[in-house]
Amino acid sequence: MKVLVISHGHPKFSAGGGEVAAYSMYSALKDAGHDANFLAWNNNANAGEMGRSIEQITATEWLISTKTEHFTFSSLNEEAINAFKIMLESLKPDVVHFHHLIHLGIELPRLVKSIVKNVKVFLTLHEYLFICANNGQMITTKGELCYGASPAACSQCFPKVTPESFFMREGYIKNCLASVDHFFSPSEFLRERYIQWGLPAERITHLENILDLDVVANKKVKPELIKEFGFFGQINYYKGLDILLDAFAIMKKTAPEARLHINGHMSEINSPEYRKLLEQKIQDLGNSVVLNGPYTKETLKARMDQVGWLVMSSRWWENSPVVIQEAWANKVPIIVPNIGGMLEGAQVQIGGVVYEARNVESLAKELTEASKMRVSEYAPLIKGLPKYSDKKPFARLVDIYKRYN
Amino acid sequence: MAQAEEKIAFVKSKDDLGPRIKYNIESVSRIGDAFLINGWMVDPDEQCRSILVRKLAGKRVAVAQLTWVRFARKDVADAFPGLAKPGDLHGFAFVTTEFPDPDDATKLNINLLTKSGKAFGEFIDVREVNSFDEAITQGFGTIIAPPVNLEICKKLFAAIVEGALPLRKAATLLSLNQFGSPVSNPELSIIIPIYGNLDLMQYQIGNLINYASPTTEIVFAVDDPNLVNGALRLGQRLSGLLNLSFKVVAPTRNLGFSGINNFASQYCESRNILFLNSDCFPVQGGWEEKVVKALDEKKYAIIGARLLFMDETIQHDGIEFESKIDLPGFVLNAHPNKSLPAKIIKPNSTKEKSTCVTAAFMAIRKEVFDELGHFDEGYIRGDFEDTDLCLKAIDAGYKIGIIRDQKIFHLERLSQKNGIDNFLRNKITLTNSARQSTKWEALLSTKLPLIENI
Repeated sequence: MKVLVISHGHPKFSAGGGEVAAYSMYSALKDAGHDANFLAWNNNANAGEMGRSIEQITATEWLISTKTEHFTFSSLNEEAINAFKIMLESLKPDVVHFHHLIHLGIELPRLVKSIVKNVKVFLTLHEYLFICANNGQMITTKGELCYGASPAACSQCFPKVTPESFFMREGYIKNCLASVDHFFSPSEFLRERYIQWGLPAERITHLENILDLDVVANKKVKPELIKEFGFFGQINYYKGLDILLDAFAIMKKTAPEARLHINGHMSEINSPEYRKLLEQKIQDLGNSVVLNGPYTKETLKARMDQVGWLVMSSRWWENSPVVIQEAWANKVPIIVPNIGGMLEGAQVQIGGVVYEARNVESLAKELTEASKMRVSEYAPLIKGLPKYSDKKPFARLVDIYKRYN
Repeated sequence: MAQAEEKIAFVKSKDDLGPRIKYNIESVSRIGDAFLINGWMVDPDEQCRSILVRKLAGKRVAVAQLTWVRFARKDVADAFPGLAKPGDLHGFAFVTTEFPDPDDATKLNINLLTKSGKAFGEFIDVREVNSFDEAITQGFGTIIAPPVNLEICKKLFAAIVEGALPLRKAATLLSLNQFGSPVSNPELSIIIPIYGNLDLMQYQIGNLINYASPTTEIVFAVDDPNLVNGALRLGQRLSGLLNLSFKVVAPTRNLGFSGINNFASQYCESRNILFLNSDCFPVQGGWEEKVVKALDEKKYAIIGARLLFMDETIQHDGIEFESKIDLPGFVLNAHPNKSLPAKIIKPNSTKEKSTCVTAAFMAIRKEVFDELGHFDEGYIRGDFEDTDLCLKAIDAGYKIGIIRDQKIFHLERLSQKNGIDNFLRNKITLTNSARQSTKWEALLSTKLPLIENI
């Protein structure tokens, strides 16, 4: 099957979970013998100048420089789109599988169908951007968790935008998405949110991210790791590292030897105020915090080997956090908030400890209990973790492709 | 008239007219061939006999005996507490078209005559009004506070509108562009006026990719020359992305709702036209077939539709004419079932009251539209021209139908530019109402046929 996977970024340049998941899907298809190509949005701000709308980086991988406006995600760069059309005419894929449309343009599924006869179009949804104009977080602009969008509710978040504008935004996005044959959602939670929003249930399948992870089969239990906690991933306000630092400070009073390993890019925090806040909290915790910097696929296992627990403290719902699967593959138990894709990860995927989302005291309590755990309690936890495999979701993906072709 | 003037004693100042007469001419505006004169007067003893207006140009002298419109001016009453009586109407305004060759008038000589034979005259600069919209805004601004009555609408505002109509210069074609392949032999042409907001054009295109059939011709009519370039760029971008065929047509100047629809109708290739507001969205397949079938069967000349607010309450379900106790003499357009949940008001469950339909969604055979003489462009800013067209159709013996089983949203008023205050809108509505009831006085006094559910 000839498949073109289109992503909102290339993990070589932007290692977010969605980008990694898209690239892994492309790699898995290629490994399985499909004629797979990978086209990623070029996040280089200078890209696209000098007429280079599409740039080839390997025999089957390209970058595309497009622009969209950020309310309806309408594609703005006609030159890049023209280059994309030529690429489609040349490749003639059987399947085009999008991950995100925010940088490429909401109109692209329909465009693809108008260019390539009989092509089937799929879209993996990675968060709630089509539903929520607040960066797709489904958090109100006042910071509260949002349980369902509506024109009136969204206008309360953005008083300068009328309910009618939100109504038309929703209509435009849905009309453009009507060209997608089938949607995939990496979590059941996100799937349900999109069904609640209006996507037909029969056209959206829960499919876990296909991640090519090195799997630890039999992990040796190391007692000294019980008091080693790890934070993995992007660092921004929504990921809530400040909540974890505050909870860790409380827990430290009873477990002074505990340490927190931060695996993420402090220098990429967009908000200077938030960065300053985190730096102060980290400084207050002294040697208890280990700043490891960002990690890659190659360094993931070594980083996971340093910790006995993976802790998430996101303020938003998340979708299906890649870090949970990374912890799963490395047999690291998780401590996560009791909402959205994180709760689903802890309840359905691998099991884990949950605490009340956004509640420092609740997280501190769970951290304290974890740090006090005896080996006889911790070892069965490790041994009880299921073995990670992405074979099932991959087989399901191919089945669905075949169903449409 | 010359004899009467000879008996008049001209005085040097207004004060010489008498201690109990106070007045001021506040402005003189030229609107097309008409002059609008606006001022106030306090005259508790009713000593004022008349106002004479002269135009001095070359050897010509014209005099206009005028019938004025009076209205309340609280500011004037407050300024003369000793002279002003409660309930007196101190404001006055009038429009005259009695002067030949108005082009050479830069000043008017305005004279107030008393019953005792005194007169005071002064020259007032004439302010030129250059556009229809300016004429409406400034002219209607003569009345600075409610109430607005039928006399004001019929004698003052209607005269301002008539004076302003020639200011609408003839429009020619500024731009006509086809995006995508033209539809051959279209079953229906949809005209969507675009004014003030290009976002609505984007949303319409997005909607029509799924809810317009390939046999439908789409015509965006851009009613603002300043928006044309933006509309063309948007059209080019979205037609390429979304593979939709449509035309963009634009006149050289803003024409208003009636004018732009009339103008765009020239560029429709189909035998059937649908006038669709830019904030009106059919969201259910099959609506076009129903409209086309009903028009082609020729049982109905005009077809409207039940329209919904975004919360699926009824925005439009037909129009009936009504009068209101607080607006004596006016015949107003009322909207039965408005704001009621559409799920509860079944299409055939209530007694029909309506006789007309809105042009937010109005389908008509093109030959009938031409026969009826199109929308009347004397109505201002998108009001009443739809019921006027329906009345023309009724008067010609045609029937009007309505479709109520399709889901069509109308976000109402988004398609009109904001920035107009409520009082001005109210004055416009009442003026349009007065125009309609004057024009259709005989027909409106009969029992009109009800619209029929299709």
